[in-house]
Amino acid sequence: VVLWVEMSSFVLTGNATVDGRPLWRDADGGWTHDVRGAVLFTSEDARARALEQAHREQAVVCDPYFAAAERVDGEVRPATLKERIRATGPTVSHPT
Amino acid sequence: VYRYDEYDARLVHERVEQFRDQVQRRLAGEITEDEFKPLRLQNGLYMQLHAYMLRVAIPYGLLSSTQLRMLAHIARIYDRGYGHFSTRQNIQYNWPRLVDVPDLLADLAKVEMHAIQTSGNCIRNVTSDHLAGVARDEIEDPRAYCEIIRQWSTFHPEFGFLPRKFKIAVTGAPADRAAVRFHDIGIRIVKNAAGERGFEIWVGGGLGRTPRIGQVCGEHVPHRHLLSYLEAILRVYNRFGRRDNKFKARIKILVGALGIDEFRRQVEEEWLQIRDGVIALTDDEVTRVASFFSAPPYRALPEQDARLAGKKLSPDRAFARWIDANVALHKRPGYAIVFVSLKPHGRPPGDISADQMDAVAELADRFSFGEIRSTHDQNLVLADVEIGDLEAVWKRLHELGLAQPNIGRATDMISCPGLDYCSLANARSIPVAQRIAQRLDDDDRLARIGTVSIKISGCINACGHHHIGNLGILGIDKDGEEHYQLTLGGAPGDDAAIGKIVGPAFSSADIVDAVANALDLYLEQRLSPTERFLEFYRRVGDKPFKERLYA
Repeated sequence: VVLWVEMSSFVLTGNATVDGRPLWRDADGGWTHDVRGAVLFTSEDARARALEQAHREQAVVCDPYFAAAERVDGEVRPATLKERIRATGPTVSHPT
Repeated sequence: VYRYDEYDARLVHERVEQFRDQVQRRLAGEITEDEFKPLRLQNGLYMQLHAYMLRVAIPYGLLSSTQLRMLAHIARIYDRGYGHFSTRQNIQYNWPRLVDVPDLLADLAKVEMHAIQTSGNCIRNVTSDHLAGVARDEIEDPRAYCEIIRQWSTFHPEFGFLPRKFKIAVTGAPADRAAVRFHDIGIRIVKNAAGERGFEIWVGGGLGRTPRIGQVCGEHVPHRHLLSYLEAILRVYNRFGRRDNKFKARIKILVGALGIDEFRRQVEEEWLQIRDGVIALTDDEVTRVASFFSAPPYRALPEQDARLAGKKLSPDRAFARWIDANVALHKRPGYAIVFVSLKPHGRPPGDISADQMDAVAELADRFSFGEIRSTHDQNLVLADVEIGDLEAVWKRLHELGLAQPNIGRATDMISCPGLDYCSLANARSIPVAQRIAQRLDDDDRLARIGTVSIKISGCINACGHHHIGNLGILGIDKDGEEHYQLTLGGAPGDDAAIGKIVGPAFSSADIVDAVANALDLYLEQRLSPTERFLEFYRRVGDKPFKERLYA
């Protein structure tokens, strides 16, 4: 049951229109660049309402979608490697 | 380098201003992302995991030093101080802000560059042999035809919304260095039995989820009919290519479904109707365009092949290794071709900093008539260096970290950006390339292993060309963990082949050992140092590799 609850929680995310940086919906209904400040959605109704609202904010965010996430040691953590890399940046360094 | 005429300049300038207006409307919320996406893609602007990504066209991989300096300027001003050369001879920037892109494109236009035809379902930027014009085996310099195809294809009103993207490569040499058999259309300049030059036109090659080796459609198309023949192929594809299924929309699927004979029949039926129309090429036009690619003012120098070979025995072993691996023979006496390795061990393949770009531009000005080429292997080339200048060029490249002696060797890996950047990827590619390079970081051992290619893709779309690596690595997601399939025996050139999966996928931790073990097996069991890895694999087959890798 615990596993089912964890796999049923999601963050609402997209990329910022102005610069493409990842954004996550925060608890105040705004957007944050820090996944740790993201709000977790667990009900389908809340998800549907949030996605509808996000689609009305296209000047701010592109292609919003839900990504599976969970709370680990009090912090929101995306469930997949792709979303974790998206949240923390490339795992390789740039040439300087 | 081709120079824009007034039409080219106006087209590019107008496109920049159109896009500036579109960006303003997008930022103001007047158009949605769904409406904006096709517009930005037509200007080479993608959305990746962390930011937008801009792909800038480098037609047939040819750059002036002025253009390379502008690419450095753009990296510095609009990005994070570096660029990434792609497997189609283009350059990508991973961090531009949408709000800056119109100014970025305006700066590019100042040096006759743009990002058109680098995305979307159009005819993409045409690629070519990176040794065009300097290779000893060349029948004819292909760059004039590349430029003619570029002009024909740019904003071609019929072909802006093809069923899927469309890639063309051209080579003028018998040795295929442009992977023409793996393009939607591959063009080889050939001579027939009478010694007349013409075009051998291949169709239906490609990689991705359905890798296919192309087939010959036109055996000896006369020069004047090049464009009409291409147009006939595009028309058949545009009419009958699968628009209902993105995964079956490339021309390779149509050619496979019809069979090459029926496909050719339809192409030639169409061709007969248009071949003598307005796009028939005249000798004057070919000569006019070819004049942009005429030979630079070479000095009259004696033949020095032996002197070049002697440098491989230099007491300075680092210089000798570099000469052996990164310098090739030039058609002109006294000159050599220098490869600038963008594969320093432990660095992302194809990446180059703005400062390094400026420095390579300076080297090109001093030693190579101000020209640079990009290769589909993600390296750069200084094509016209006097043999007497090689040591000075090497010293500077060495200072810059761009003299890794590994061209054509195991650490000269092609790698796609993978999951570190790409929204389509399933697994990381660059860190695998870095770990393999660190594992093989022994220049003498690399020289013993000799010519071998390792190519890495982070997903089935195969941007890292893994199907045609002698060793190909495909990243997959297996229960949420990165795993890597290893294929053996792929080859891009005259001996074209698609690699075969050797066995179950390896974990991320184990894939580096698997590659190293495969190379060890080769070193232990090859008949002689002249038997290359690919020849060894073809002789012994999968079995000894399976036994070694899955012991």
